[in-house]
Amino acid sequence: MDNNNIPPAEPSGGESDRQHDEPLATRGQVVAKGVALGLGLAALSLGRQSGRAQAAASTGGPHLDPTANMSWEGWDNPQLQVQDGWEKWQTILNPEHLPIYHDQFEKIDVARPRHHWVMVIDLRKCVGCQSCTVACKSENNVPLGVYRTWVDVYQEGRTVPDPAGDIVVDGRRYQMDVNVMNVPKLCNHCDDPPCVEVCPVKATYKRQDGIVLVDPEVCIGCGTCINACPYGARYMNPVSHTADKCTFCVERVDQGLLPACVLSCVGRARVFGDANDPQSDVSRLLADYPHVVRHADLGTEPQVFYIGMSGEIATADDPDIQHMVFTYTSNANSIAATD
Amino acid sequence: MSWNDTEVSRRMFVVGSVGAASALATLWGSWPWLPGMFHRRGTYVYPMRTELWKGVDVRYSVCRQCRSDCGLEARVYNGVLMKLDGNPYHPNTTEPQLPYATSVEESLKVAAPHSLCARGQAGRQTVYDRYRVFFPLKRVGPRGAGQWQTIGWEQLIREVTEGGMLFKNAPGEENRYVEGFADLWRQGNGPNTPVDPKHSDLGPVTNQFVLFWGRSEPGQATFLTRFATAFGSINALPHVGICELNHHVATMQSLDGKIAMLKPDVANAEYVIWFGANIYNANFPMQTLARKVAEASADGSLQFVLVDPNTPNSAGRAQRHVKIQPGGDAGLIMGMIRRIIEQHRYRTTFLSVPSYEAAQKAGELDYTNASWLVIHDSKNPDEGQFLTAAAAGLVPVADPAAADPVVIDAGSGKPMRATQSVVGQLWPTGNLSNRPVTVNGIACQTAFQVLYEEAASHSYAEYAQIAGIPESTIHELATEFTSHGRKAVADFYRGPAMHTNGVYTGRGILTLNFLIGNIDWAGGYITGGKAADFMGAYPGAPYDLGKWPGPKGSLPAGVPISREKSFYEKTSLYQEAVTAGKDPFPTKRPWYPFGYGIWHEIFAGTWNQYPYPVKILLQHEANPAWSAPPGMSGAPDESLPWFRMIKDVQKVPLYIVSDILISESSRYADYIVPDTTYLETWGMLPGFPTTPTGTIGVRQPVIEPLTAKTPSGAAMSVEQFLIDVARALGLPGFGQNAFQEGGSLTRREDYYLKMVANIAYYPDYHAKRGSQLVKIGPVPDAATPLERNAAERWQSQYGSALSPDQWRKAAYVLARGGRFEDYDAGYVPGALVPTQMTYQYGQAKLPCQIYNATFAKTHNTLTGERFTPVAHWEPIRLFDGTPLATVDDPRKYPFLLSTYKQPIHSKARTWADKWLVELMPVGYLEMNPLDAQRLGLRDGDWVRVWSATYPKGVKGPLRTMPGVRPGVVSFPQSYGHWHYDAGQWTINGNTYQGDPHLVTPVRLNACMRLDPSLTDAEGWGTCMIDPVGGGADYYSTRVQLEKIPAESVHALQV
Repeated sequence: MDNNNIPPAEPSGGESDRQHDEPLATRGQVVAKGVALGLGLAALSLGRQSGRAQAAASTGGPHLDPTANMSWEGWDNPQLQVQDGWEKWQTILNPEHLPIYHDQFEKIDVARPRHHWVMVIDLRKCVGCQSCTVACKSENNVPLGVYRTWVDVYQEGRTVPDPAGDIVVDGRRYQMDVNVMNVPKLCNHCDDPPCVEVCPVKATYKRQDGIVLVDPEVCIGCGTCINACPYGARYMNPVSHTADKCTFCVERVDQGLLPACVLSCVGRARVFGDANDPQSDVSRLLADYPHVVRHADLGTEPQVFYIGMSGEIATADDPDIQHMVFTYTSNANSIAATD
Repeated sequence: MSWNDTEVSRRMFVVGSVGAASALATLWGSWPWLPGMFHRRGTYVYPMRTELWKGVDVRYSVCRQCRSDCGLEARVYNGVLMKLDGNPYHPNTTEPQLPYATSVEESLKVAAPHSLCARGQAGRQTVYDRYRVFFPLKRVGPRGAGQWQTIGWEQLIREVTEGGMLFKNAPGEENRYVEGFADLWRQGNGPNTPVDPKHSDLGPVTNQFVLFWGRSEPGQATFLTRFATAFGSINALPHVGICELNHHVATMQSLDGKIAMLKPDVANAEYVIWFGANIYNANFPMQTLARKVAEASADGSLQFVLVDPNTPNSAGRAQRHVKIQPGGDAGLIMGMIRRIIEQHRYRTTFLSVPSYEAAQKAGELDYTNASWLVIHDSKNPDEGQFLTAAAAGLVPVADPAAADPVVIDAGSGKPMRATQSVVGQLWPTGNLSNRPVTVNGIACQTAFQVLYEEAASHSYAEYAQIAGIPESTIHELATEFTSHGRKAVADFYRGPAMHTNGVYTGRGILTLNFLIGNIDWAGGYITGGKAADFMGAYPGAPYDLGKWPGPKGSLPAGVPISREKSFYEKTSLYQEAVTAGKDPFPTKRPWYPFGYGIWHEIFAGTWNQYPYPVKILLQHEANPAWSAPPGMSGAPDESLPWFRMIKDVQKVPLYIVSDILISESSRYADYIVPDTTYLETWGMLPGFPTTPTGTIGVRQPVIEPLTAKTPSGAAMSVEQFLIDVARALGLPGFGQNAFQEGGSLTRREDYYLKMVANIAYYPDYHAKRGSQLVKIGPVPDAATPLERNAAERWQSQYGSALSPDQWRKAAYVLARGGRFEDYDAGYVPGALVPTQMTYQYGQAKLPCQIYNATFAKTHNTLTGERFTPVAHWEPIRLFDGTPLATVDDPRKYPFLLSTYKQPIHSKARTWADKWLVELMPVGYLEMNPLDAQRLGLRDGDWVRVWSATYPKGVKGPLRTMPGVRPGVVSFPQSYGHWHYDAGQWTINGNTYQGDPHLVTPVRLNACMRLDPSLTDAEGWGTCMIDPVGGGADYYSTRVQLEKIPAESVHALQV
């Protein structure tokens, strides 16, 4: 099928050029050529992928046939599937074997954990740029169409005739009011997480330091937790077919690094840290500024706090209320909050 | 629990259809008809290995997803680029940036944000794009037919070099001989052969090779220019004319002619007015400005005003948002200038300082020409020029100071050379009097009088009407702007500038800053830190890269095809006409002494073969078929001017494109040279004025380029293409003995690594030591294992490029992705709070030009009209001077068309990044809800939009947005692709399909107006252009629209 992989038509003298000059008639030959190119690891997956060209992966190369070329979709990349310890999920999710909780979350406090990770989002500084959204996608290989975090960016306001208004159009005066609102959203890592309690197989849990996680090797993909989350923060991973969500980039936090969305927050609106440390930035912000959580009324005790929130905005685009600027038009896991 | 009752609505994937699918997750697997996105085969790889994980290489380089040039941090594992973040040493990304002396090992553990924006994060999808072109392609059908064959590298080089009947198999081209590089080079005689024997000042025949680019930056642009220069062509031209050219020209012509941009010192400013600068969404650098503004706004130190008919994301934090009438910015600005002068709210002590020496004495950092005398006598041949000391009778004509400007000295009340006076009078004939003063029998005004006369030529009511705002807003802004001492700034970008009156408007904005004397002061308008000199022009530099061994051509470099950076008045064409007693005006196409990189005039020069015919057009990283100039392209319609030009094989005999894929434009190429993406190439990237400290980022390949290899084993790239063509021709400066210091240039690294060495040895970067700034000289040698590894990667392959000593220092720079002064070096130390910038415009000893005397003697070469030397409002006009308002009837075309940039895209190339596309797969025509209501239009309705010069119009969906000024319709800039990772093409007989979901509305550039006074008898014309700057007008087109039946859109679905 792959006589598309025809190399430059003109013969040329160089050794490396000749690798492209020979017609590659079969997948097998592509594999062989890939090995010859020193990309053996890349080629190993080809047999498995034969006939599913749209499944993205490194397939060696380069090729003329786009479907044989590498594109970035994050999974099935054989050059990353190296057995170096990174594939051990349990280790990545909880390297220090912190106690985990599936219910009775009030006992976490009693255990006096060393850390309690939280995020503070200072909406005065959010610039609505979606850097966090894409940083998360990239760091966590989140497939297209679903999100662990996103930023609702809206314009609201109206223009009305007004003899004292701020603009003059064709000799008539209007008051044109417009505001832009940006609200980053993500899993709240609730202290009383309803999503965890409902899991029938105890695949999802809360770590003692506050991080709510899913063990994809235990998850059966029933979706109960996804419906149980009132914030739309969980989704079904279309590749693994298991429930998926924000992890606070647990593998980074455990190494003393920042979560990807915080590391890349352009406005420095996202602040991550240990609420148990009174000297931490998050503790100081929470001490100094009024803050709210999303849907405090639900009793879930979210651990993502917002400074400068003036009324939440909904993810649904309803021009009678507010006007979407951009983002998450394809966000299938985002739900409408209703206040 | 109550939350179970929360109504859940989920957004379906395709825009426009919102459906309830809340049960999706629970019914997983039982809904096989769901779009593919919900179910994908494969094995999920858990997140990216961290920067501390064993086997992960962290490489610092520089982004190019937009032109902000932020340092990047690339995580590479097993040869795969996994993740992009910001380089913590780079001031664009990190505040404060890591001290430069920090070891690379330490830098990996940094626990502070070091950000890259969404565009930058998504760059991985630009490099790993399955539709990339990896092999040289040659067209086999007519231009644009999408029929290709692969050819070997040697065939590519041979054919473009030697020329021949290259396309004899294409219909109509059976007998067409195509001239190659060798036909122009003529074995080295080309650069000495005039392209027009009667006008040798137009330069040599080799100027018929025209190289232009959309994105190429210092370092790489320098390389491209080296080739053009060595070949004997002046035509190595950037894209500025469709970008923000008028902003640059206004800035340069208000300063020293070189500095193209100033920026506010945001950290210390109290008040900033941003005219059309799209803060938070874009600008220079987008993330750095956004971060600084967010911080200063949150802590209350900064109040800012947006002047914009659209609504950038920063509007939520702005103290005031002036929704200006497009093209009317100068109404507000000139009104403010008038008000500030009449209310005496300008800084007299600064404006009356007439020279650098006087500024030193007065404690000023700069001076202006406000007090200089200008000849005000229509009978005097030097009318409009500064009165000279000789003309004033102050010194003999032969005196070295004969040309010095003259002021009325405030102390003596007498004329005096500006360099001798301490204070020059602004009002020699009385406060606010414009009456001339007579010196040596010559009637004169001060430059300040000329400015005031101009500002007072319209009433406040007229200015308010022009700006579409109440008069009170002008007065309030004038008061607010002048209430913060030197800690206020008026800054701008594309919005006010890219109109036919853009340079004058920009001159007004610079003038506002001059009126309060804020240049070079902390909290004022600043130049930013310098870039280390990578070209090695400083004494003792390892490599002087601006020169190379070889014969000099005997002809002047000549005039660019776009007639830019060229005074028509100085050409033999002008002199001949004058000598013959003929009117030298109009010229066939305009000339632009102040502008540069004017795409529309590259194309117009090509079409009109003026001032000479083009033989070879080489396009690098550009997509003009999609990206403008306005009205000349932007839709798949070959009747548009750009397509007519490019399909004409007589006017464009050879069209070579260096590209990373078959885009809307490269589809028309004769040859496509497979190029490397920014993650596989080099560059030396200066900082922007937003950053006070010295900054030079080094872009270096973070992965092995994915392009195929040449016979010599080099990755194919535009540089390798030029090197191999140069070697085939025997050009100086390439191949053997390519450098002054010896050594060969056979691979691009031979050149770029020398730039890195020049940066490493640059002597003039500062560090704060106690209360002093001291120069620190060259960088230390690389000391740690990771630092040495950073160079080893290159030294192992290109060891001969540098000496062993140089390698050790280059390693230090390569390991850190550039060279950066430390955070505390930006301000002159010694004060409790920052007062002066370390880098000052004033150090050049040149004036701030309230009055530009060169403008006063330079002409619009169509009308012969002279340019206005001071800030000035004029209506939007065609090039021949006709006011646009008399051409397009507002009743017939009731809306003004505008456009803006979102923070999730920049140029054409970000459309390959699905993480960005999925955020908003479709663009909309945006309209104020009040206008929509009047027209009975609703969100999601489809409309057709057309203009006087594009009656067939463009269709797209409508979205109401409260942030669009009534009477304006707008659209985000990034959408409406039709052949970018999309479309269909054939290579070697096999047909390939792009992704159909990437063909989505809407792009309205095709509707943007062409200028009938710049349109020829065949109907081929260019956009509306600022005659002073040369920049295209993007925001003045009047359009009409009508509702049409909705069309289906197949948005992103993978």
